[in-house]
Amino acid sequence: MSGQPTRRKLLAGAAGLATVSVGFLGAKSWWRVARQPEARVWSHRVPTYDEATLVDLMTRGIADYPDVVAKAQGGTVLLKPNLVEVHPGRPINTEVRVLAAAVEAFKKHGAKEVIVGEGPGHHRDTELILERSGLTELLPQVGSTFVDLNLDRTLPVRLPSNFNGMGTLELAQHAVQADLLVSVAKLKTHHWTGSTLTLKNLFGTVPGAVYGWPKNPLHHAGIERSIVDLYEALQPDFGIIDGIIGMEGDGPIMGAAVPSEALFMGANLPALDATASRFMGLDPDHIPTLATLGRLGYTIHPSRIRVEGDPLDPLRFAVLPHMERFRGGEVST
Amino acid sequence: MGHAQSLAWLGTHRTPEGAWAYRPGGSPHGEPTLLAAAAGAPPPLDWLEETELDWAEFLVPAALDTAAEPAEEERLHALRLRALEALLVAKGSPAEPAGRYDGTLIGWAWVDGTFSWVQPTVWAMLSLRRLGRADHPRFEQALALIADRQGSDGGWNYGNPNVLDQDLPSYLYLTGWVLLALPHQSPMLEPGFTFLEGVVQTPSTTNLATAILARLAHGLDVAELEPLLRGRQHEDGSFGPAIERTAIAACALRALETGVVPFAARPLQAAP
Repeated sequence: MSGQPTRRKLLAGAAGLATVSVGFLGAKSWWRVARQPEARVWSHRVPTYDEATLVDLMTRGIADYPDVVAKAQGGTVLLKPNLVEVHPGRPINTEVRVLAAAVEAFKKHGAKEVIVGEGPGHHRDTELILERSGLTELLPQVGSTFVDLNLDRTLPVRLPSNFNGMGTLELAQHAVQADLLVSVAKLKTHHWTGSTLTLKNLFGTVPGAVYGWPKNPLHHAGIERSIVDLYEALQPDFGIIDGIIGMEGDGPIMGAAVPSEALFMGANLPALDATASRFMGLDPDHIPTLATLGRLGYTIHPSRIRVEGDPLDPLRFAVLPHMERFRGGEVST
Repeated sequence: MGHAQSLAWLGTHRTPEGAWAYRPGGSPHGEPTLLAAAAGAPPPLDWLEETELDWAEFLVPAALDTAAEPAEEERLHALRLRALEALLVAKGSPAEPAGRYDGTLIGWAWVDGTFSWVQPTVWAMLSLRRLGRADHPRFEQALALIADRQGSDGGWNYGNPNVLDQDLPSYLYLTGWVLLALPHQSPMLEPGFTFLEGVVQTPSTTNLATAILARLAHGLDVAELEPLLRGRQHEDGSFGPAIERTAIAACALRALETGVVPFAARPLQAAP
């Protein structure tokens, strides 16, 4: 994308981060891994978008995290899906039946209100996206509403680690003030960042009315750095990844559908994204955002992640040639 | 139902400052305020004078009508002058392209110093034209940028027609805005309007409103689109509880009912 890191710059940056990461691993790998807290991730084999199955799995999955249940009870839950634009045949967005099931699951856990909120990065016409995705019809049926985070009131939020150098970001009020913030992502490859999962999904909490469409100041400050900053600033409580049909290749928009039959969830988002990335055949140590989080002490190493539920054999999602780097392999030119 | 009802709805949803927010009860913002003004609602001059509008400043001259009352027109003139100064200072930064387009071309950015994108550039073009500055070098540069960013499908998206050798799809509402800003003789019009025909299959309030404005600005028939837009108007006069959406629809209804096409009016006689 223009105005964002070019492929050349991104690869140079990724190479730099990877070099630092690998060097660090070589010298201090034991310490780096040992200090990552143990985390649990749920994975399930889910062949279809059967809503009853999804509600059941999510209700049981959420129940396994008492802190999440405690915040949901009587509180406001903001579900942050990945809604980009709608093109039939291309699974770009979080499937609406996954969202509907998540609404119902959090209501079963006593949530007072479950809102769906998104601020698409490029496409401003959310009325169109909601109508064409089916959310306009579905949300009232499950007792939920939509808020356009691009146009929401904003609150200044200090960036604790400030890797992108912006110090403070104006973020959507609904995302900042929700009792429970849940990132509900799509399982996709991404031609710039390797994978786009629950962490990258946080870009949608950045209001376009302040930063534009796309949210270019954050790209200039560094996509990966900004993702880490957003994660640390918002500290989302839970993540769900819709990989029942994923996207491989030229994600996040132009890739191809993969019936990958997977649903992931958990309260530790770096561990969740690392697990889902491995499932796609990518190496978290070579995905700059995850590698950085791992160096910061967040959990990405498989030895620190207990995967519960159904054992899922990893797949090998197709990638563009320059994305082989995200598998830890050589980049073919 | 029609323009008067949409204006009435907008009138009951002003902020305490007299401006408009994106959503009822929200904070005032330049974009919904200027769209409402373009639709024919009296602009909140005090608020506009006191507020930094950021990227919405680019739309000020195109959105504000002339006033019959001299004192008010003087204030509007000052606002247009401020906007002209702001938009001639603001510019996007060049960037190495990530696809088949020219990253050295300069238009306007959402946030100064970042890349040039289609919507702020088109708003600035509309305002320069309204101020009689369509011969300004920045207008010519912007026209070159818009030509460069036209997608292979004939339309425009936010500003990246191609990434990593992959053509990206255009958006209808942005294509409508671009066509509204293009000169009548532009060779970009024909493929652009061909792409815009997709609005019948992919209608939304914003898609329909911008398509109607663009077609009327170039003297084209809108008989097929008008009932689709009117059919989306709610009984309260709004197009749902989204103020910017109701405002752009009201702009289209104004054009349909009065013949005055907002943003595409002739250059001002006493432009700054």
